[in-house]
Amino acid sequence: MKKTARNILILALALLAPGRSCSSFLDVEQIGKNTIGAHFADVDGLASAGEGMHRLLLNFYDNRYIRYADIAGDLLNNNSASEGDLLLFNYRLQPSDNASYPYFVWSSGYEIVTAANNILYYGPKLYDSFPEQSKTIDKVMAWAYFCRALAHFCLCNCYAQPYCYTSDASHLGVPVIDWVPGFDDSIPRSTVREVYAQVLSDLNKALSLFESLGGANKIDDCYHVSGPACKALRARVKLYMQDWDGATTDAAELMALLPLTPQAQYVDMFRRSQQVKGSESILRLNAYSTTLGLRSLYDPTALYRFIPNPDVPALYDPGDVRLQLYTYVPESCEDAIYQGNTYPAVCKYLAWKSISEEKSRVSDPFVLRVSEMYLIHAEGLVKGSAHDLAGAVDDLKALVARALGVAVSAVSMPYATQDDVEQLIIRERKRELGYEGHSLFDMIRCGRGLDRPASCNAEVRTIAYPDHRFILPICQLEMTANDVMIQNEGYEDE
Amino acid sequence: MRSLARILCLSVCLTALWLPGGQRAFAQGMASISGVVVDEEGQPLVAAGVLFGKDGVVSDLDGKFSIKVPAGKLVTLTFSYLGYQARELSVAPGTSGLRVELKPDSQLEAAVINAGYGVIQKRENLTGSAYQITSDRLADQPATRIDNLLAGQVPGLRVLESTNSTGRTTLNLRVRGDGSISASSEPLWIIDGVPVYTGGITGSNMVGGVQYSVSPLSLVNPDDIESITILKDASTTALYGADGANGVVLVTTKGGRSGKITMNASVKYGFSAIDRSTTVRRPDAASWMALAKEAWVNAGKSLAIFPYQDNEYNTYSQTDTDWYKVYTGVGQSLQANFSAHGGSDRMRNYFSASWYDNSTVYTGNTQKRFSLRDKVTLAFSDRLEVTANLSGSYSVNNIFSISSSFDEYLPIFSPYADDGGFRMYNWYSKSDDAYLPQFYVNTQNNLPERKYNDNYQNTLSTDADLVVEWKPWRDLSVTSTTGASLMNIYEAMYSSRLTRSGQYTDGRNGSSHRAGVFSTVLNENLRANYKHVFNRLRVSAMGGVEWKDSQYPTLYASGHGFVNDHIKEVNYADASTREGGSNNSHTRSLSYIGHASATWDNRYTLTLSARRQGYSSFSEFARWGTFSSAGLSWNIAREHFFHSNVISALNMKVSYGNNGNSRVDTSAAYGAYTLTEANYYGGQPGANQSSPANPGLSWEKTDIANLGVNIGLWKRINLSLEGYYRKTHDILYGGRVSSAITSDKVTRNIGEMRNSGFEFDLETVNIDNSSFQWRTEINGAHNENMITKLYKDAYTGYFTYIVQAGASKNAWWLVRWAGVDPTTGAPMWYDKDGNLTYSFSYDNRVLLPQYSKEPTLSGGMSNDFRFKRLGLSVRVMLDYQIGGWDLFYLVNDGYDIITDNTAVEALEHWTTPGVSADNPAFVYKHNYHTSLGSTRNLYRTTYVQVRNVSVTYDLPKKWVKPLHLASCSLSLLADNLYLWTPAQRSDRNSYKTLKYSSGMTRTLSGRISLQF
Repeated sequence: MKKTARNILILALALLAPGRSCSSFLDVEQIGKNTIGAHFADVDGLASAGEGMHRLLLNFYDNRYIRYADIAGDLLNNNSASEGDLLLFNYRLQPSDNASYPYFVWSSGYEIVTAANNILYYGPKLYDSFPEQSKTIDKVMAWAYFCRALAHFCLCNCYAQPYCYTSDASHLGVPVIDWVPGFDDSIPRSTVREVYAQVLSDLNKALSLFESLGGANKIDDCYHVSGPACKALRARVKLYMQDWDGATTDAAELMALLPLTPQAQYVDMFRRSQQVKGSESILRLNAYSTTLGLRSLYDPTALYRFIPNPDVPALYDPGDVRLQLYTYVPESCEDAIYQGNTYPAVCKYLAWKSISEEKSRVSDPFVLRVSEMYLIHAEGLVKGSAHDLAGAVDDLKALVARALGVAVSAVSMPYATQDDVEQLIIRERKRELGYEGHSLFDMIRCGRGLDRPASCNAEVRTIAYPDHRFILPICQLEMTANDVMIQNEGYEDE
Repeated sequence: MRSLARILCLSVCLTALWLPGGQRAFAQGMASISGVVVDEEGQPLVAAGVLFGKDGVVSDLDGKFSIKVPAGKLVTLTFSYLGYQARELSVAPGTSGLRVELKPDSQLEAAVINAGYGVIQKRENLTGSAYQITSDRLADQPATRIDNLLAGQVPGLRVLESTNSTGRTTLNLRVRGDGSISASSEPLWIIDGVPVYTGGITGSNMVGGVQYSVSPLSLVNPDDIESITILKDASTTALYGADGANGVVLVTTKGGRSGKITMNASVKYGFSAIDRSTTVRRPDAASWMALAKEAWVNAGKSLAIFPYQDNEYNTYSQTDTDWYKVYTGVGQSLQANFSAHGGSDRMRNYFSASWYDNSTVYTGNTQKRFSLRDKVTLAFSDRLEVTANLSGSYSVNNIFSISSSFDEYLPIFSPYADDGGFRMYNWYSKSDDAYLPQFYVNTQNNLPERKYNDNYQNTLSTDADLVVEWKPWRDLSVTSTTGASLMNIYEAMYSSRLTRSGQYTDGRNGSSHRAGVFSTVLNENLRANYKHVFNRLRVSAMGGVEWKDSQYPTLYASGHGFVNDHIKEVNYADASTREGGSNNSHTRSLSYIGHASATWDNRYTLTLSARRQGYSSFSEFARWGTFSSAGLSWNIAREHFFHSNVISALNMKVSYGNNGNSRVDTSAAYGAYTLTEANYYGGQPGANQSSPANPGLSWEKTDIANLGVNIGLWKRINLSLEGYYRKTHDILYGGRVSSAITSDKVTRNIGEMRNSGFEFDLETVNIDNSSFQWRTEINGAHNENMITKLYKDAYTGYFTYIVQAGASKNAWWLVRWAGVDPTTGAPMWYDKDGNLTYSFSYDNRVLLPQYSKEPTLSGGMSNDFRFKRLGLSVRVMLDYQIGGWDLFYLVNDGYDIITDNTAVEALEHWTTPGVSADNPAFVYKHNYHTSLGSTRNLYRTTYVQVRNVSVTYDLPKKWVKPLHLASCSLSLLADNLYLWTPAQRSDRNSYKTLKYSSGMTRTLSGRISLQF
């Protein structure tokens, strides 16, 4: 009897022992894999996610956005374009081009949105644990709002007809994603109006965070998002929305804040950008230690794909410093076979090869600079309630004067009508902002359409606005994977 | 008949109890021996005979006996029971509590199946599908690795041998087809109750953390194995839950026995060589030269600019290198085993030590393995037993990796220079337009690498298990199994400054790579087993809990730039090139297991199994899976109404249940952020999401139905037939979601797949008389795979196959070859719609269910011949495959004939308009696109392979006794003796020459075994 009792006791103990084994046994710390939750457990992780997000922005601008806008634009000629680039150049992209622009612009644009949403989801959880670092958290959150706005804006430019396509912008835009989506979440397209509303709202949130940090008008470092960058992007967004007065106001603030880069530094601002960042830089992307895709697109000493349209140099006056960016003169450090030759080339992304540190031998692409603000300001003055043609021409003169290295008063720019001024603005936008990712959007946002010069060697030289080919098709992969996705008009039957 | 015998025995027993035996019991100088006689399941055998000389007693209703013997020295008792093998034991007078286990005297296979967790099922009452291989079937096979031993032996289990790009053989095991699309389809290996790491989570089954994967299954000494049981259906595998969906391989090592110490020693020595009749037939140098020149001319080029023209450095016309002779040779293997077992009532022990030294036919590849095992069982009392099972294996592998296509190297190149040194350069032209010869590096010569480079792995694998079994009552036992399985790999690679692989463009030559893997699997299983016999009802139940913790830390260091080839350690590499890293993966699982079975009158058996398992890799929302099964068997032959002199056994079984597969990347559920240089911004550390969180991710689940029938005839023939249906659902597969969420495919539980098929196993005793016995076992299996559902019915096309709903995973997806246009010699294909076309396009690929990778039937056959009086036994084991197609890129019609050798088929190509030919016109750099796969590249995979032949001669006792030996046997063994395929021809390639990418290794060995 005693034995039985003892046995029962031991047995009970043996069988109860597992009782301690609740599920916590299964909560394994996943070292060796940085799970998303673990990465955002402290502010350093958050900050590195902020840097990573900027890197995605660089990748997007370098490999997708700028080249998309310029290859589809009216300033390039084909030299030995790759298959995908050629399809774009000739306006023949189809939804089935899953390994080309229709897919990559989309996925790499939304990568930025994902990075921003992760920061915005995990960032606020850190305030309680790290109150002393709340400023850093604020700053990274502000970056995320800006990046989310910029990505949505760019995606909308590529996949949706411009804002003015319908009177109330109720046509299809791109999906607005302002949360961390699960795999079963519905990702429908929003209207363009909704996308722009989200973009402006995010920019304002970013700006108010910068304001609280005392940085609304301060650029610590043009390689990172700042308060002025928010205003500058807002100016461009309003320009695209044809909110001329709003655009004018924002652009004016930036013009007051930052001087134009002087002529002497103009070329180096592009070709020696790690050293000469340029006083007018609002936001540019730090390409340090990377291999820029834009360089190989234009470098005549490599397998370069595109050259400037032969008519481009004729847009400039002979003494214009900007002209230097269209002729490639090999440097003395280059191979003998290049010496003595010159090549027509887009040099904005061709850093000097004589720069000693290899990692610094890069050109940092621009997102926003003050020259653009002059052009936005000018366009706003002309088309907005002010109808100030003279003021607009003064803005243009400021740019030309800087380019020629003369006083504004020495620049002559005759005009008679509003149309004359608008044409001057279009020309100046090409001359100043060419190959910086504006070309296509400048053509369509005001309903102009494609009009390439006769010397252009594309299959297609003119396309009247509107046309479905001015925007990218939603790629087939997305159409298959996303039940609620709607194809862009004109691409449905593909 | 059998029950009648029992009744007779029982009455004898009862009569015996009435006998006036008291007189003898109290006689002087007598002592008693008492104990219990049980069957393999531990059930008491009633009325078993216990004999001492001519005196005897029988066991009582509890199987207990007590017999009087003279006190003093050891006595020999004989235990017997009808239908069981008699057993002789030497016992000390006065012993009590002796437990004697008798084994069924079946001419056929083992009568009980060990399903793990203390669950033992009689074969005649088995409800599920399990197949057991005993040690004697493993003994004569090659000792390299234990998974390869199973080839052809188990119905429904295929061992797929393939050669990876580095020329190393990889093995994949498939139990009843592929159970998954992207997660591992490998079975779960459990050695003595502890799961072992056998490779990564993906289908490739590679060992992580090292550059060259050496299977952990090559670390086990096959000589230590008592049995291997392969569990195939739900009723047997549901107990293993996670990762049991693809079958479970249970390995049980030998255990100690009581009684006097018996020692076994054996030495096996063998030679191996490649069977050249199984290597790809390629043109010799003269034929190649003729072909190359023809292709060159056909491409419109002048022979004056032919790239290979004799010169003072290379006499191409005189060189004919057989690359097999360069890279392969005669392998040797030595295996020495020593084992001993013995003990007393209180302690049983098994000890073994083994040395294995193998140099393969691929010169430069060796394995040395030293293994030790000790299994000791201490019986503290009748109720408490502790078993410690300790084993360690130290293995040193030297690896020399050559490309699996080394035989495509041009025969006109030689690895040796005229002075006998290595030829590092050749003088020829690489231009297609002019003869512009210069020195080019002899990239096809890896002999310097073999000579100067190091690539070795030292692996220490240890297993330590502690089993505590406590029986508070007779019917109940509580068992704790604590197991630790540790594997420690040190990989050292050094590329010499003298070799191409060790030379860098920055001039810092010599490179070193060191890696370490420290794998641990800790497992604790606590269970209670209950069994009881209620009259004719026999019940058993088991309940328990199991914890498992696996860690897989790895680290590495590398660097290049050494001042000489002697220091080799990374510390001395150029500082700026040194780098290192470490990683770890850590998973845990917690399971509750239960099993119950009831057998009524040995006729009806019901088994129920369940396992609830949680796995840490899944997020907390989807962490737990419950797996359960039920099985039913009906032993018809034991029915009262069943009377047959022909049918000696007849039973049917059915089972149904499910289990799971959890082998996914552990980041999948939680998502990952990665801090890498690709995410750095302006030199600042940057991080981005590398995989999104997937909180709903959960187990792959497989439902399995199994139906079987077993028929025995005249106690000489036994036929088992089984049919099964496995449906895997919630398949883990990379599916696309909106690229606005992630541009990568994400692993999701999407899709369904089914595998259905049948298996047979026929065992016969063809001849059995006093002098000769001949037994045969033949098995075969057929499996069909079908993907029934995929997420959004999306498909993924790979080059030659497609993952698509409504298609088999194993069907080829190819462009159909239409032969050669006899007028022009141009290749032709059929387009998607079946029209002839002259241009190749991947768009014309069609799904070809008639060409499946899976054979129609596959299996094996073994024949055992025993010449009893001569003491000679012969065993022949075959495996075979009927049907199935495999893809080989053998000929490309001269496209790269200038740089690579081709197959002999190239000799027969189109030359004359109007004369039809199998192969198109032979043109260098043609634009046919015939290098890309089409049905032309398919070969039927029917074969019969003589895997293993053994001849063993047991020396007569009268010869060995004077040597103080209990027995002595000599064996001659041959592995991979012959490979036959129906299409084989000496002047053509067929599956015979393609099955092994560089030929089948044939081994001949001799063995001497001694027992003391």
